[in-house]
Amino acid sequence: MEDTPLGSWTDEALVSEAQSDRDGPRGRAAASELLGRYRESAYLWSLRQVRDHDRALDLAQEALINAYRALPTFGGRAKFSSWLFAIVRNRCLTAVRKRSLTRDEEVDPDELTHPQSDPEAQLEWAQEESAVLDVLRRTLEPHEQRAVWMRYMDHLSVEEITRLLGLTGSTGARSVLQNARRKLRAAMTGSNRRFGGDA
Amino acid sequence: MTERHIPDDELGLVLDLDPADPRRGHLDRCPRCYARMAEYRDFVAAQPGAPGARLGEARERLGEALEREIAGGAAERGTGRAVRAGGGDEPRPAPWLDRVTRGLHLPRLRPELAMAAIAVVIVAGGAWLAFRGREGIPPPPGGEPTLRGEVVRGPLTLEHPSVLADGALELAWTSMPGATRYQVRFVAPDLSDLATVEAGSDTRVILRRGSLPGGLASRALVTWQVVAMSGNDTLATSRATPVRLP
Repeated sequence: MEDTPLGSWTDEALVSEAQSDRDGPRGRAAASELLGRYRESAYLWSLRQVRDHDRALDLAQEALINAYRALPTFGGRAKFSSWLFAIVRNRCLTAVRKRSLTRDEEVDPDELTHPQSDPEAQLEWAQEESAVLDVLRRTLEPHEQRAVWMRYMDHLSVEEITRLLGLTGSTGARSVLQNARRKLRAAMTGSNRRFGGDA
Repeated sequence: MTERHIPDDELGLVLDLDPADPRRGHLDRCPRCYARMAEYRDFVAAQPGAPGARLGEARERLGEALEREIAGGAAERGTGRAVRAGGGDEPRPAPWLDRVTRGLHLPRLRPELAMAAIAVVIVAGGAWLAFRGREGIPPPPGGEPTLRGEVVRGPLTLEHPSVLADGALELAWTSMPGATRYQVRFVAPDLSDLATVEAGSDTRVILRRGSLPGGLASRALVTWQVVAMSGNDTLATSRATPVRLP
Protein backbone atom coordinates (compact mmCIF):
# COMPACT_ATOMS: atom_id res chain seq x y z
CA MET A 1 0.00 0.00 0.00
CA GLU A 2 2.80 2.40 0.91
CA ASP A 3 4.23 2.23 -2.62
CA THR A 4 0.98 2.94 -4.42
CA PRO A 5 0.15 6.57 -5.24
CA LEU A 6 -2.24 8.20 -2.77
CA GLY A 7 -4.61 8.93 -5.62
CA SER A 8 -5.48 5.24 -5.79
CA TRP A 9 -6.13 4.84 -2.06
CA THR A 10 -9.66 4.58 -0.70
CA ASP A 11 -11.03 7.35 1.49
CA GLU A 12 -10.92 5.03 4.46
CA ALA A 13 -7.24 4.20 3.94
CA LEU A 14 -6.42 7.88 3.66
CA VAL A 15 -8.35 8.67 6.84
CA SER A 16 -6.44 5.97 8.67
CA GLU A 17 -3.10 7.28 7.42
CA ALA A 18 -4.01 10.89 8.22
CA GLN A 19 -5.04 9.94 11.75
CA SER A 20 -2.06 7.74 12.53
CA ASP A 21 0.57 10.21 11.32
CA ARG A 22 -1.24 13.50 11.84
CA ASP A 23 1.75 15.81 11.95
CA GLY A 24 4.07 13.70 9.86
CA PRO A 25 4.64 13.95 6.12
CA ARG A 26 2.64 10.80 5.30
CA GLY A 27 -0.36 11.87 7.33
CA ARG A 28 -0.34 15.36 5.89
CA ALA A 29 -0.09 14.04 2.35
CA ALA A 30 -2.97 11.67 3.03
CA ALA A 31 -5.13 14.45 4.50
CA SER A 32 -4.33 16.68 1.56
CA GLU A 33 -5.30 14.00 -0.95
CA LEU A 34 -8.44 13.09 0.97
CA LEU A 35 -9.82 16.60 1.39
CA GLY A 36 -8.59 17.62 -2.04
CA ARG A 37 -10.86 14.97 -3.54
CA TYR A 38 -13.87 16.81 -2.17
CA ARG A 39 -12.92 20.38 -3.05
CA GLU A 40 -15.27 20.50 -6.00
CA SER A 41 -18.08 18.76 -4.15
CA ALA A 42 -17.89 21.20 -1.25
CA TYR A 43 -17.70 24.23 -3.53
CA LEU A 44 -20.47 23.20 -5.93
CA TRP A 45 -22.80 22.17 -3.15
CA SER A 46 -22.18 25.44 -1.32
CA LEU A 47 -22.67 27.39 -4.53
CA ARG A 48 -26.07 25.81 -5.07
CA GLN A 49 -27.06 26.89 -1.57
CA VAL A 50 -25.87 30.48 -1.63
CA ARG A 51 -25.62 31.23 -5.37
CA ASP A 52 -22.59 33.42 -4.95
CA HIS A 53 -19.13 32.31 -6.03
CA ASP A 54 -17.11 34.13 -3.35
CA ARG A 55 -19.48 33.18 -0.57
CA ALA A 56 -19.48 29.56 -1.72
CA LEU A 57 -15.68 29.55 -1.76
CA ASP A 58 -15.60 30.88 1.80
CA LEU A 59 -18.10 28.31 3.02
CA ALA A 60 -16.40 25.42 1.27
CA GLN A 61 -13.04 26.52 2.66
CA GLU A 62 -14.37 26.80 6.20
CA ALA A 63 -16.06 23.40 5.97
CA LEU A 64 -12.98 21.65 4.57
CA ILE A 65 -10.69 23.20 7.16
CA ASN A 66 -13.11 22.39 9.95
CA ALA A 67 -13.23 18.83 8.68
CA TYR A 68 -9.44 18.63 8.65
CA ARG A 69 -9.26 19.91 12.22
CA ALA A 70 -11.93 17.46 13.31
CA LEU A 71 -10.43 14.50 11.46
CA PRO A 72 -9.02 12.99 14.69
CA THR A 73 -12.60 12.71 15.95
CA PHE A 74 -13.84 10.85 12.87
CA GLY A 75 -14.46 7.37 14.16
CA GLY A 76 -15.00 5.47 10.94
CA ARG A 77 -18.59 4.66 11.95
CA ALA A 78 -19.72 6.51 8.84
CA LYS A 79 -18.30 6.92 5.37
CA PHE A 80 -15.96 9.86 5.11
CA SER A 81 -17.95 11.32 2.21
CA SER A 82 -21.19 11.44 4.18
CA TRP A 83 -19.42 12.74 7.30
CA LEU A 84 -18.01 15.57 5.20
CA PHE A 85 -21.38 16.12 3.55
CA ALA A 86 -22.92 16.60 7.01
CA ILE A 87 -20.25 19.19 7.83
CA VAL A 88 -20.65 21.10 4.57
CA ARG A 89 -24.44 21.01 4.79
CA ASN A 90 -24.42 22.17 8.40
CA ARG A 91 -22.01 25.01 7.61
CA CYS A 92 -24.07 26.18 4.64
CA LEU A 93 -27.39 26.04 6.43
CA THR A 94 -26.01 27.93 9.40
CA ALA A 95 -24.63 30.61 7.08
CA VAL A 96 -27.84 30.86 5.07
CA ARG A 97 -29.89 31.29 8.22
CA LYS A 98 -27.56 33.99 9.49
CA ARG A 99 -27.50 35.93 6.25
CA SER A 100 -31.24 36.33 5.86
CA LEU A 101 -31.50 34.09 2.89
CA THR A 102 -29.52 35.40 -0.01
CA ARG A 103 -30.76 32.50 -2.09
CA ASP A 104 -34.50 32.73 -1.62
CA GLU A 105 -36.20 35.89 -0.54
CA GLU A 106 -39.59 34.21 -0.53
CA VAL A 107 -38.81 32.18 2.55
CA ASP A 108 -39.59 33.66 5.92
CA PRO A 109 -36.35 33.64 7.94
CA ASP A 110 -38.31 32.82 11.07
CA GLU A 111 -39.20 29.51 9.51
CA LEU A 112 -35.55 28.63 9.19
CA THR A 113 -34.82 28.44 12.87
CA HIS A 114 -33.24 25.12 13.64
CA PRO A 115 -32.25 23.49 16.90
CA GLN A 116 -28.61 23.61 17.72
CA SER A 117 -27.82 23.35 21.37
CA ASP A 118 -31.27 23.62 22.87
CA PRO A 119 -32.80 20.18 23.59
CA GLU A 120 -36.31 21.66 23.79
CA ALA A 121 -35.90 23.23 20.37
CA GLN A 122 -34.60 19.92 19.05
CA LEU A 123 -37.69 18.16 20.34
CA GLU A 124 -39.97 20.81 18.85
CA TRP A 125 -38.20 20.55 15.53
CA ALA A 126 -38.48 16.76 15.51
CA GLN A 127 -42.17 16.99 16.34
CA GLU A 128 -42.71 19.50 13.58
CA GLU A 129 -40.87 17.33 11.08
CA SER A 130 -42.93 14.38 12.15
CA ALA A 131 -46.20 16.31 11.81
CA VAL A 132 -45.25 17.57 8.35
CA LEU A 133 -44.29 14.06 7.23
CA ASP A 134 -47.58 12.72 8.49
CA VAL A 135 -49.55 15.28 6.47
CA LEU A 136 -47.49 14.70 3.35
CA ARG A 137 -47.89 10.94 3.52
CA ARG A 138 -51.63 11.16 4.01
CA THR A 139 -52.15 13.68 1.22
CA LEU A 140 -49.58 13.34 -1.54
CA GLU A 141 -48.05 10.84 -3.95
CA PRO A 142 -44.44 9.85 -3.16
CA HIS A 143 -42.89 12.06 -5.86
CA GLU A 144 -44.98 15.01 -4.63
CA GLN A 145 -43.95 14.35 -1.03
CA ARG A 146 -40.29 14.48 -2.05
CA ALA A 147 -40.67 17.64 -4.10
CA VAL A 148 -42.55 19.42 -1.31
CA TRP A 149 -40.01 18.35 1.29
CA MET A 150 -37.10 19.56 -0.83
CA ARG A 151 -38.80 22.88 -1.50
CA TYR A 152 -40.23 23.79 1.87
CA MET A 153 -38.11 21.94 4.40
CA ASP A 154 -34.73 21.82 2.65
CA HIS A 155 -35.33 25.09 0.75
CA LEU A 156 -34.01 23.90 -2.59
CA SER A 157 -34.84 25.82 -5.74
CA VAL A 158 -37.36 24.52 -8.24
CA GLU A 159 -34.54 23.96 -10.74
CA GLU A 160 -32.56 21.93 -8.22
CA ILE A 161 -35.58 19.81 -7.38
CA THR A 162 -36.24 19.18 -11.06
CA ARG A 163 -32.67 17.99 -11.47
CA LEU A 164 -32.43 15.92 -8.30
CA LEU A 165 -35.72 14.15 -8.93
CA GLY A 166 -34.88 13.60 -12.59
CA LEU A 167 -38.12 15.24 -13.68
CA THR A 168 -38.61 15.92 -17.36
CA GLY A 169 -41.00 18.17 -19.20
CA SER A 170 -41.07 21.91 -19.63
CA THR A 171 -42.37 22.71 -16.19
CA GLY A 172 -40.27 20.22 -14.24
CA ALA A 173 -40.89 20.37 -10.50
CA ARG A 174 -43.06 23.48 -10.83
CA SER A 175 -46.17 21.59 -11.90
CA VAL A 176 -45.53 18.87 -9.33
CA LEU A 177 -45.37 21.49 -6.61
CA GLN A 178 -48.48 23.25 -7.88
CA ASN A 179 -50.47 20.03 -7.80
CA ALA A 180 -49.12 19.20 -4.39
CA ARG A 181 -50.07 22.60 -3.01
CA ARG A 182 -53.56 22.26 -4.38
CA LYS A 183 -54.00 18.92 -2.64
CA LEU A 184 -52.51 20.20 0.58
CA ARG A 185 -54.69 23.28 0.57
CA ALA A 186 -57.76 21.15 0.13
CA ALA A 187 -56.67 18.76 2.86
CA MET A 188 -55.66 21.32 5.36
CA THR A 189 -58.23 24.01 4.65
CA GLY A 190 -55.77 26.81 5.06
CA SER A 191 -54.63 25.77 8.49
CA ASN A 192 -51.01 25.25 7.63
CA ARG A 193 -49.04 28.46 7.11
CA ARG A 194 -45.86 26.67 6.03
CA PHE A 195 -47.14 25.70 2.60
CA GLY A 196 -48.65 28.98 1.61
CA GLY A 197 -45.83 30.39 -0.55
CA ASP A 198 -45.24 30.15 -4.26
CA ALA A 199 -42.67 27.95 -5.89
CA MET B 1 -45.52 5.80 12.51
CA THR B 2 -42.18 6.24 14.27
CA GLU B 3 -39.29 5.28 12.09
CA ARG B 4 -35.74 6.35 12.74
CA HIS B 5 -34.48 8.81 10.16
CA ILE B 6 -31.10 8.24 8.60
CA PRO B 7 -28.50 10.62 10.04
CA ASP B 8 -26.65 12.63 7.40
CA ASP B 9 -23.31 11.03 8.16
CA GLU B 10 -24.73 7.52 7.68
CA LEU B 11 -26.15 8.16 4.22
CA GLY B 12 -23.10 6.65 2.53
CA LEU B 13 -23.39 3.43 4.50
CA VAL B 14 -27.07 3.04 3.67
CA LEU B 15 -26.29 3.25 -0.03
CA ASP B 16 -24.13 0.15 0.32
CA LEU B 17 -26.83 -1.90 2.07
CA ASP B 18 -28.70 -4.73 0.41
CA PRO B 19 -31.83 -3.42 -1.37
CA ALA B 20 -33.92 -5.65 0.88
CA ASP B 21 -32.56 -4.00 4.02
CA PRO B 22 -35.28 -2.12 5.94
CA ARG B 23 -33.21 1.07 5.97
CA ARG B 24 -33.12 1.10 2.17
CA GLY B 25 -36.88 0.66 2.24
CA HIS B 26 -37.14 3.63 4.58
CA LEU B 27 -35.65 5.80 1.85
CA ASP B 28 -38.57 5.05 -0.44
CA ARG B 29 -41.14 5.77 2.23
CA CYS B 30 -39.65 8.86 3.82
CA PRO B 31 -39.49 12.07 1.76
CA ARG B 32 -37.12 13.62 4.29
CA CYS B 33 -34.51 10.89 3.98
CA TYR B 34 -35.09 10.51 0.24
CA ALA B 35 -34.42 14.22 -0.21
CA ARG B 36 -31.33 14.07 1.99
CA MET B 37 -30.00 11.07 0.08
CA ALA B 38 -30.55 12.87 -3.23
CA GLU B 39 -28.60 15.85 -1.87
CA TYR B 40 -25.80 13.58 -0.66
CA ARG B 41 -25.53 11.83 -4.02
CA ASP B 42 -25.45 15.23 -5.67
CA PHE B 43 -22.65 16.28 -3.30
CA VAL B 44 -20.55 13.22 -4.12
CA ALA B 45 -21.21 13.44 -7.87
CA ALA B 46 -20.09 17.12 -7.91
CA GLN B 47 -22.02 17.88 -11.08
CA PRO B 48 -20.40 20.98 -12.54
CA GLY B 49 -23.58 22.48 -13.97
CA ALA B 50 -24.24 25.02 -11.21
CA PRO B 51 -24.92 28.53 -12.59
CA GLY B 52 -22.03 30.91 -11.94
CA ALA B 53 -19.57 28.14 -11.07
CA ARG B 54 -15.89 28.99 -11.55
CA LEU B 55 -14.55 25.55 -10.95
CA GLY B 56 -10.93 26.09 -11.93
CA GLU B 57 -10.55 29.02 -9.55
CA ALA B 58 -12.34 27.14 -6.78
CA ARG B 59 -10.11 24.12 -7.21
CA GLU B 60 -6.99 26.25 -7.02
CA ARG B 61 -8.03 28.44 -4.07
CA LEU B 62 -9.36 25.59 -1.99
CA GLY B 63 -6.25 23.54 -2.72
CA GLU B 64 -4.04 26.41 -1.55
CA ALA B 65 -6.11 26.95 1.58
CA LEU B 66 -5.96 23.27 2.47
CA GLU B 67 -2.22 23.10 1.93
CA ARG B 68 -1.73 26.15 4.16
CA GLU B 69 -3.93 24.71 6.86
CA ILE B 70 -2.37 21.27 6.78
CA ALA B 71 1.21 22.59 6.75
CA GLY B 72 0.46 25.36 9.25
CA GLY B 73 -1.60 23.18 11.57
CA ALA B 74 1.17 20.62 11.89
CA ALA B 75 3.79 23.30 12.57
CA GLU B 76 1.54 24.98 15.13
CA ARG B 77 0.91 21.74 16.99
CA GLY B 78 4.60 20.95 16.87
CA THR B 79 5.75 24.25 18.35
CA GLY B 80 2.72 25.16 20.42
CA ARG B 81 2.73 28.66 18.94
CA ALA B 82 1.60 30.55 15.90
CA VAL B 83 3.22 29.47 12.66
CA ARG B 84 6.24 31.30 11.41
CA ALA B 85 8.37 30.53 8.41
CA GLY B 86 10.83 27.74 8.82
CA GLY B 87 11.37 24.12 7.90
CA GLY B 88 9.91 24.75 4.46
CA ASP B 89 6.47 25.76 5.76
CA GLU B 90 5.01 28.99 4.43
CA PRO B 91 3.63 31.33 7.08
CA ARG B 92 -0.12 30.89 7.20
CA PRO B 93 -2.12 34.08 6.64
CA ALA B 94 -5.12 34.49 8.88
CA PRO B 95 -8.50 34.03 7.13
CA TRP B 96 -9.26 37.75 7.51
CA LEU B 97 -6.01 38.61 5.74
CA ASP B 98 -6.89 36.43 2.78
CA ARG B 99 -10.30 38.08 2.66
CA VAL B 100 -8.91 41.61 2.86
CA THR B 101 -6.40 41.03 0.08
CA ARG B 102 -9.16 39.64 -2.09
CA GLY B 103 -11.47 42.51 -1.17
CA LEU B 104 -8.83 45.08 -2.11
CA HIS B 105 -8.10 43.18 -5.34
CA LEU B 106 -4.48 42.75 -4.31
CA PRO B 107 -2.50 39.97 -5.95
CA ARG B 108 -1.80 36.93 -3.79
CA LEU B 109 1.04 38.28 -1.73
CA ARG B 110 3.10 36.74 1.01
CA PRO B 111 1.40 37.58 4.33
CA GLU B 112 4.04 40.14 5.33
CA LEU B 113 3.66 42.00 2.05
CA ALA B 114 -0.11 41.84 2.20
CA MET B 115 -0.02 43.17 5.77
CA ALA B 116 2.20 46.04 4.64
CA ALA B 117 -0.15 46.86 1.75
CA ILE B 118 -3.16 46.83 4.06
CA ALA B 119 -1.31 48.98 6.61
CA VAL B 120 -0.66 51.56 3.88
CA VAL B 121 -4.37 51.60 3.04
CA ILE B 122 -5.34 51.95 6.71
CA VAL B 123 -2.78 54.68 7.45
CA ALA B 124 -3.69 56.60 4.31
CA GLY B 125 -7.38 56.28 5.12
CA GLY B 126 -6.79 57.43 8.72
CA ALA B 127 -4.77 60.42 7.54
CA TRP B 128 -7.49 61.35 5.09
CA LEU B 129 -10.17 61.10 7.76
CA ALA B 130 -8.06 63.20 10.17
CA PHE B 131 -7.53 65.76 7.44
CA ARG B 132 -11.26 65.94 6.93
CA GLY B 133 -11.67 66.52 10.66
CA ARG B 134 -13.64 63.34 11.14
CA GLU B 135 -13.21 60.65 13.69
CA GLY B 136 -10.25 58.42 12.85
CA ILE B 137 -10.23 54.66 12.70
CA PRO B 138 -10.74 53.34 16.22
CA PRO B 139 -8.03 51.09 17.57
CA PRO B 140 -9.18 47.51 17.05
CA PRO B 141 -9.48 45.20 20.04
CA GLY B 142 -6.31 43.45 21.01
CA GLY B 143 -4.25 45.67 18.74
CA GLU B 144 -4.95 43.53 15.67
CA PRO B 145 -7.16 44.62 12.79
CA THR B 146 -10.41 42.79 12.32
CA LEU B 147 -12.76 42.82 9.39
CA ARG B 148 -16.53 42.38 9.60
CA GLY B 149 -16.26 40.38 12.79
CA GLU B 150 -13.59 38.07 11.45
CA VAL B 151 -11.52 36.67 14.24
CA VAL B 152 -7.80 37.07 14.42
CA ARG B 153 -6.20 33.86 15.63
CA GLY B 154 -3.94 34.77 18.48
CA PRO B 155 -1.79 33.08 21.06
CA LEU B 156 -4.68 31.41 22.86
CA THR B 157 -3.43 27.92 23.53
CA LEU B 158 -5.37 24.99 24.92
CA GLU B 159 -3.74 22.90 27.59
CA HIS B 160 -4.05 19.15 27.66
CA PRO B 161 -7.31 18.15 29.41
CA SER B 162 -6.86 16.69 32.89
CA VAL B 163 -9.01 14.15 34.70
CA LEU B 164 -9.29 15.10 38.36
CA ALA B 165 -9.37 12.68 41.28
CA ASP B 166 -13.16 12.67 41.42
CA GLY B 167 -13.44 11.87 37.70
CA ALA B 168 -14.25 15.44 36.66
CA LEU B 169 -12.65 16.80 33.52
CA GLU B 170 -10.65 20.02 33.66
CA LEU B 171 -10.27 22.03 30.48
CA ALA B 172 -7.74 24.84 30.71
CA TRP B 173 -6.06 27.34 28.43
CA THR B 174 -3.52 30.15 28.51
CA SER B 175 -4.72 33.63 29.38
CA MET B 176 -5.05 36.19 26.61
CA PRO B 177 -3.90 39.77 27.18
CA GLY B 178 -6.89 42.10 27.12
CA ALA B 179 -9.47 39.34 27.54
CA THR B 180 -12.12 40.03 30.15
CA ARG B 181 -13.94 36.72 29.75
CA TYR B 182 -13.77 33.40 27.97
CA GLN B 183 -16.31 31.16 26.33
CA VAL B 184 -15.81 27.44 25.83
CA ARG B 185 -17.65 26.12 22.79
CA PHE B 186 -18.47 22.47 22.30
CA VAL B 187 -19.36 21.08 18.89
CA ALA B 188 -20.48 17.68 17.65
CA PRO B 189 -18.52 15.47 15.23
CA ASP B 190 -20.50 17.04 12.37
CA LEU B 191 -19.40 20.41 13.79
CA SER B 192 -22.88 21.53 14.76
CA ASP B 193 -22.98 23.56 17.98
CA LEU B 194 -23.74 21.62 21.14
CA ALA B 195 -23.19 24.04 24.00
CA THR B 196 -21.34 27.16 25.04
CA VAL B 197 -20.04 27.56 28.58
CA GLU B 198 -19.26 30.99 29.98
CA ALA B 199 -16.05 30.70 31.98
CA GLY B 200 -15.95 34.33 33.10
CA SER B 201 -12.38 35.46 33.63
CA ASP B 202 -11.24 31.96 34.66
CA THR B 203 -8.90 30.15 32.33
CA ARG B 204 -10.41 26.77 33.05
CA VAL B 205 -13.71 25.00 33.39
CA ILE B 206 -14.45 21.78 35.22
CA LEU B 207 -17.04 19.39 33.84
CA ARG B 208 -18.67 16.84 36.10
CA ARG B 209 -20.59 13.84 34.89
CA GLY B 210 -23.79 14.55 36.80
CA SER B 211 -23.94 18.24 35.96
CA LEU B 212 -22.89 18.64 32.36
CA PRO B 213 -24.19 21.73 30.57
CA GLY B 214 -27.34 21.26 28.50
CA GLY B 215 -26.62 19.74 25.10
CA LEU B 216 -23.65 17.69 26.33
CA ALA B 217 -24.03 13.96 26.90
CA SER B 218 -21.89 11.95 29.28
CA ARG B 219 -19.07 10.02 27.58
CA ALA B 220 -19.68 11.78 24.27
CA LEU B 221 -16.72 12.61 22.06
CA VAL B 222 -16.92 16.32 21.31
CA THR B 223 -14.66 19.05 20.02
CA TRP B 224 -13.91 22.04 22.24
CA GLN B 225 -12.60 25.48 21.50
CA VAL B 226 -12.06 28.62 23.60
CA VAL B 227 -13.00 32.14 22.56
CA ALA B 228 -11.33 35.08 24.30
CA MET B 229 -13.61 38.10 24.60
CA SER B 230 -13.27 41.68 25.67
CA GLY B 231 -16.80 42.74 26.54
CA ASN B 232 -18.73 41.69 23.47
CA ASP B 233 -15.74 41.79 21.13
CA THR B 234 -14.03 38.58 20.16
CA LEU B 235 -10.28 38.84 20.57
CA ALA B 236 -9.16 35.40 19.51
CA THR B 237 -10.22 31.80 19.09
CA SER B 238 -8.14 28.79 19.96
CA ARG B 239 -7.82 25.74 17.81
CA ALA B 240 -10.54 23.14 18.16
CA THR B 241 -9.55 19.81 19.62
CA PRO B 242 -11.43 16.61 20.51
CA VAL B 243 -12.10 15.46 24.05
CA ARG B 244 -14.16 12.70 25.68
CA LEU B 245 -16.60 14.09 28.23
CA PRO B 246 -16.75 12.57 31.71
